[in-house]
Amino acid sequence: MSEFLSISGIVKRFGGFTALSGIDLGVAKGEFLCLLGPSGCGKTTLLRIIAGLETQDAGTVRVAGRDIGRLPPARRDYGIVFQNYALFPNLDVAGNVGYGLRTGRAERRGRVGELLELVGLAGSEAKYPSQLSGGQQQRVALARALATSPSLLLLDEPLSALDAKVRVHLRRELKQLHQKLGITTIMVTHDQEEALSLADTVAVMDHGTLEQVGTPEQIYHQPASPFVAGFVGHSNWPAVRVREDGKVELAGQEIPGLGRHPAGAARLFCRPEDIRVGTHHAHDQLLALVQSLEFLGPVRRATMSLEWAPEIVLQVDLGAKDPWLAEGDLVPLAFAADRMRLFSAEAV
Amino acid sequence: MTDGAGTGRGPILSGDERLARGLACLAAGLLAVFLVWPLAEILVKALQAHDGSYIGLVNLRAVVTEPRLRQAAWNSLAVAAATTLAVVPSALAFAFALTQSKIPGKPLFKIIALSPLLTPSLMPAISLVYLFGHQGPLRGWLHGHPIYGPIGILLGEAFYTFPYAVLVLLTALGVADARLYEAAEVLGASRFRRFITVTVPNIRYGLVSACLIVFTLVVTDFGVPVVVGGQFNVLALEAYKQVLGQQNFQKGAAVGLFLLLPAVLSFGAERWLARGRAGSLSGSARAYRAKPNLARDGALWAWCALVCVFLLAMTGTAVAASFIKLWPYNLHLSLAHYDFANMDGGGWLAFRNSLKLGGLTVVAGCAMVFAGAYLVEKTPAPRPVAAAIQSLALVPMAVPGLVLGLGYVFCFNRPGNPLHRLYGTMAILVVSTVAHYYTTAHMTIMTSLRQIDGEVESVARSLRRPWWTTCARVTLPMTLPVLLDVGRFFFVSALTTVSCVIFLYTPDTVLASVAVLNMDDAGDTAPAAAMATLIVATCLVVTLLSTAAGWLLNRRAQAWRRGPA
Repeated sequence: MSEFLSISGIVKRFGGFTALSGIDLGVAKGEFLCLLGPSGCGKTTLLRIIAGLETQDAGTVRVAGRDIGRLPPARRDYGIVFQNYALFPNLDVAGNVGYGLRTGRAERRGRVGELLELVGLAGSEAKYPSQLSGGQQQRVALARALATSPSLLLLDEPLSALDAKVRVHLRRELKQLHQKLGITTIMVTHDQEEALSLADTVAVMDHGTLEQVGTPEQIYHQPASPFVAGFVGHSNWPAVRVREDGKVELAGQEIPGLGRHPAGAARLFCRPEDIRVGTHHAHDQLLALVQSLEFLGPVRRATMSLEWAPEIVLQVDLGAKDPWLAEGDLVPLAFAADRMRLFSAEAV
Repeated sequence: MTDGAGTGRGPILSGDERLARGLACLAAGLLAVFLVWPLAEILVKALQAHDGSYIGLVNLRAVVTEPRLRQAAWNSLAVAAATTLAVVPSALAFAFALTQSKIPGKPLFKIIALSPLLTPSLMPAISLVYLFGHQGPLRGWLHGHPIYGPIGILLGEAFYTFPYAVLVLLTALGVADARLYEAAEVLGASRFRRFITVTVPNIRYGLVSACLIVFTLVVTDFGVPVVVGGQFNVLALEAYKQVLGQQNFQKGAAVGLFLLLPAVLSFGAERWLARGRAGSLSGSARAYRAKPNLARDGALWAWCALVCVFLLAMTGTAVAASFIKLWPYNLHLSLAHYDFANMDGGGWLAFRNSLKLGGLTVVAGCAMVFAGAYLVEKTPAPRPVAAAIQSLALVPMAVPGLVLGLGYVFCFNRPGNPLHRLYGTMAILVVSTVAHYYTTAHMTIMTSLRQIDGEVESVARSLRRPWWTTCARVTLPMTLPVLLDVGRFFFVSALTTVSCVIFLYTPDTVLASVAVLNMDDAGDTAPAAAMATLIVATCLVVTLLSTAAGWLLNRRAQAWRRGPA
């Protein structure tokens, strides 16, 4: 895939604080990319630099081969949606959506109607933003951003100000809209669930650097760094030892299927759902004592300590198909080795 | 391909952004020329001898050592301190009654309390002369003491400064958080203890602020002392006399610098106190609602009524006297005193000039202040330029009108000045009035611009609309009610001010407020009262008109202001 948007070497400092330290990122045409990270990681700054609302100290931004890095926003061809909607309060919905349209009145009215239908708000042209709910306002903002048919759509935490239910609903519609229009989209979010469910590609950021760029599956199952593994989803980090022969041992018990690694101390990354509870005791299985159980709806999360190394505590998700456990039970554990990753002890 | 590359390091600006940049520089330049330059001239003049040679601090030392000037300085401080002591507690009780009691008639009380804002400061002085002067019916109240002197100044300044103190204290008391009172009550605190432990700490800042404002206003005002000062010399009067009477610009400049002192000090103190006070009222705070209490409310009502009678008497006496043939001997009604055509001091020309000044100040002031605030807040103006506008806009707050007027004389009356041609025109009166009242207007508009989400401009830029489209279609319509209020403020200020323009008018550009002063000076007290009445009436009409216009605007804006249908 050829890159539609390519960012290279972006650096941004605010006084002594380095918000972005050399970001390189490519986005293919029609791709939905999520910039994911904790607050203060620089994701919004990066988006604002792409939008031309902030000036980078170094680096270039190219769209379709054209260097737009120093152009004013008006010459960059994108639409943008902010968390707080930023609608023009004194203009009605039609005035808001049609703000960027420089066409005749009739043509504008047609286009506005079309866009409102697209976002599911047909017929609300004459309403004012204050008469709409948060979700409706954000749809208007989306229609306004799409009105000029920009080649790039920038979304800055567009769903964060909404109620949980509206958020999930609008998320689904956003996905459908993207599939329908095929517009290259960059969305900033701190909500991993949102990023994983919406994006073709997730770019995880921390402290002004890109930690990992990959598909949601890669990000979730093959985190490139302990930060990514820790930020996205829940995870266990038991200390393990790699033997001289390269095999991995947890509490003296070899974990099969992990391959060979350089000898020494290390940390094992495993998600709660990737640890299985067995029914039969086998001689090569780890035994764990159930300390407490937490009901989370679809799953119950058990906190267990290993029988031979009680200082190692693991969280294990139990689904409907798993055996019913009670506190104090001693159970054998099995690991889905293809989902585990080993990180050096210092990196964690 | 190379649309944006290789043309230097900075971002490329679009045409509208370049224009915004240019306008911002222009605004900063105007503030520098019409604010910083005149003030700098005062500083230079104060260090010169009468012939213009440099003599260091001699003039300044004279203010402290020359008996006449030293006495004036002491008198100023004493009368300002006395006025502050009298006004602030009165205003506190008044504001307390308006915010934290259940007395009837609050809106009326508030209107009367603020009414002095519509009158020139000469007016209460004229009323005092009518009431307590040689023929005044109430002169017996003074037990033989003359009204001319400290008593008269104190009473006149009390009238003049009362609304400022009330406004500050109303704001301070208005942010009382009901939850704190409830917590104190639940913990068993007595009424008095609640006042001391909750109310007082809450309004501490407001109290200090009110004291500083009243003190500074009294020190720098000369409208009251010029009428009822008598032999009691004060510093503000001395600056006026040195420059206009004795043509001693250098000594006038030195006195001017001393007048600047309390204002600059209180300005600094205020800024210092205001540090980190932004979040004093959190979002979850609830407004305090008073419970009825007959004894307290009765006493407060009586107090408010008493204050209002005083305030009304101070305006009303002059108004009444202007319609009376010969106070107090012939009490028949007559319009003779309004026959300005046969009167020295400017007459109807002065009134017409005042209206002209008011109108032009509204237009120029609103345009300049809005443009300055808009460019700083809503466009990517270069940071140093924006910072310059922001800080220069605060300067007039610390500069008394008298001092600003002096600076204008020194600066634009100098033959070598390229802007010398401005001197003696209506234009310089407009410019000086805008400069004089810049801070309040700027802060008001800035506050209202900041309430409009900044991302709105970002979105508009992404939609390829230049900032002036957004300004005309969104920002300006949303700011219009505030702009209307700022316009009213400019108009009323232009009509009532004397301090700044007293140095700048010519016989052709004489103003109504100046005419009041001149007629009173010439002994024509009744025509002076008539002219002052005319000013108050005009201000009242304009205020009512702007209120009506604001109401209409508000009704039109109802559609987009109301909540979800």
